[in-house]
Amino acid sequence: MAVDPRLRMRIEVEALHELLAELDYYRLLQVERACSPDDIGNAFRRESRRLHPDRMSTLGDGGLAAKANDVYRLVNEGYRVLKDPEQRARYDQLLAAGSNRMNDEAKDAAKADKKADDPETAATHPKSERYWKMALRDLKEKSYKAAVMNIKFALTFEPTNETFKEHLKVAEEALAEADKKKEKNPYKLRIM
Amino acid sequence: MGISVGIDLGTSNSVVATVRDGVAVVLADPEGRRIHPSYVAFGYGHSVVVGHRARQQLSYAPENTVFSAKRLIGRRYRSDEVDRVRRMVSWGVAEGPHGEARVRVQGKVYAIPEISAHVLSHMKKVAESATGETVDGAVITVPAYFNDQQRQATRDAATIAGLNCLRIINEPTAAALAYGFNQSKRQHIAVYDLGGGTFDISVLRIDDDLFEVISTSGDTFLGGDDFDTVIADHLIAQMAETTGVDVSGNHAARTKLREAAERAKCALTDNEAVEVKVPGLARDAQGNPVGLTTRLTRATVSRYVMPLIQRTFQVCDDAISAAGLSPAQIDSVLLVGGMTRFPMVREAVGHYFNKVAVAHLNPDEVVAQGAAIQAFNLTSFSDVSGAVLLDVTPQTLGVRTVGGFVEALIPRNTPIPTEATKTFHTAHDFQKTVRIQVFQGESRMAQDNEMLGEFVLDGLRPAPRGEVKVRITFAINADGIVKVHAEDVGTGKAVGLTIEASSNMSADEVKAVQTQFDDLGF
Repeated sequence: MAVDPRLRMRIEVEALHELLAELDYYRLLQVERACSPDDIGNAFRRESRRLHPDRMSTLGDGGLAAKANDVYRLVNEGYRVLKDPEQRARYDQLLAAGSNRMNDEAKDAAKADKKADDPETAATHPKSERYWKMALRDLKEKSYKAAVMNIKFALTFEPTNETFKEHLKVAEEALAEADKKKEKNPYKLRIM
Repeated sequence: MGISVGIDLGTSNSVVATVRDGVAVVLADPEGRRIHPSYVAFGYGHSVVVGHRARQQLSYAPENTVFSAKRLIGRRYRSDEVDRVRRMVSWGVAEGPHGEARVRVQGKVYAIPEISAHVLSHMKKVAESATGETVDGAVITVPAYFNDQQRQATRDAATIAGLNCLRIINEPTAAALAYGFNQSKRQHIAVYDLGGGTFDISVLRIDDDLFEVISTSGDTFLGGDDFDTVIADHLIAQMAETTGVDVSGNHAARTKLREAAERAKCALTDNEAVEVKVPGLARDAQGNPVGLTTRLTRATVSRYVMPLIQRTFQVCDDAISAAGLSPAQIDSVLLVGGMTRFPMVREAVGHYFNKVAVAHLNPDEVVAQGAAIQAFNLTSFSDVSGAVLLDVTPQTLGVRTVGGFVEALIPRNTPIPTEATKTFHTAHDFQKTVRIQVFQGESRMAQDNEMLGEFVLDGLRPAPRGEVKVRITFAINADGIVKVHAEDVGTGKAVGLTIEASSNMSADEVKAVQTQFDDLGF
């Protein structure tokens, strides 16, 4: 005989809530420790479908709603930590040391890790950040002309940013290279 | 049992919808009107009219007819935004006891949630007369970029109106829900929402019945009203040029020209050019009445409004890059909000995303329909179906630190509900209180962000400095509203927390206004 879905949902939430302190993020999201970033995204979406508090809003009592909220907040937290490679690395260290939860120090350390090798976080001014992000996108898409322009805009807000300057150099060289190719080919073809 | 509805509480217009036989339907008033002006007109004594009747009063009693109040909701009196509203409207704007903007009409001051409560209560009546049932609960929509204060004030409005607010949801998210996308194809969509007073862009990842907002951005001061203003300014300049009469300081004439501008704007949706005739605007030096007769073409208007449209694309850039995507990676673009009917807007959006935007649902009604679907999902149990909305917080939440900087605690675009903790140490021996200022916004400097409030922790146990640690938890609930809780790390006891300098109404105040509201016979 099938179990009443409301009852099943209630039991699931109650049980998870009971176990919450013992569950690490991987177990909460029901993924392997060695899983890929895609697996984490998919697991988050699967668990959101199942455990989002909105799904329980009609089950009637405030107590269950509060428990569902606690559970889902942790699902969210786990997803936030695991989807970020630096935070995940720091969390794995904590986990090995016997702690189930991310803490503020590890988060700060992850932030520093990220800053050290990620150009995305190089901008320190909200206005330069906008142009900087566009510039990084341009670089990815190999639109060097746009990248040079956007980095120069970003530099007007932060004239001393070393990361900006390095990328500007790279972008300008790439642009010159691309221009050279453009110049060479059509002419030679025509002359010949 | 009554019904639950979705209400799109707009800057210019409001719409109410409900789910009937599995379909979201917009509810009309007895005259068959589905869209209601968010206008509240005060008459003599206690009389208040709302909607179409209030709007009719605008031309002869502009100083008693409040519109666009949503632009002021949750705002401080001393801000550029409020100054801009003051220049636009004929009614009075006053400073409230918490430094917030309020409305002054006929010598009486009203909190903004009170004005919005009149509109909500009107929409509730429309729904009840259309269905013959009572309204038990409502999902109310707000612009995605609304901050905590603005959301809280919207909730207060519902409380004052005696309406059970099931949830506050974001307008673009609601629109995405109404469009459905049940084809189970995984895709990225952008919702371009240009309404009467605000612009929002949200980027969503839709996977079957899961609606996941990845990023959102907006400008709470960019909408159809601004289009009307630039067109009206053009008309005023034209009139000065052709008749030599300057009406820029004449409230009544400006109101008429704004209305003419709005009508012309709407007419240009279907026509290449329109005649604008507004007689009897003012009198010239000889005392003869003068009016304005002119022709507006799409090309002229386009020249004036293009800078406004360009501003929306800067906001789009911001949201799309925050989502880690490029415009080309967006599979579909939804158009929401009355302003997206405007051919120039459609064309420009098409160019920006390099694809034809989707707009087969009525852009004025789709938000209310989505809200109705969410209201239905929240009030009826379903084991398998029913979309799940995963929304994000639109602005970074942080606290002020030394030197006037902000330490970010919950970054923008974090999925909600969520929470973050922060531990504070005492800085002096036997310190009894700690003061914490909470901000929302993207600037690294506190002063450039919106202050949500100032919290005072008191009754700390006496101890040498640094020994008392207080852990503060900032939680953002599914409505996007911030709740703060503090505890002494050493003892695990809750620490007394008082909110000061919040521009919101206190619970007592909401209650008092609610009682007055009930007395009005609503």
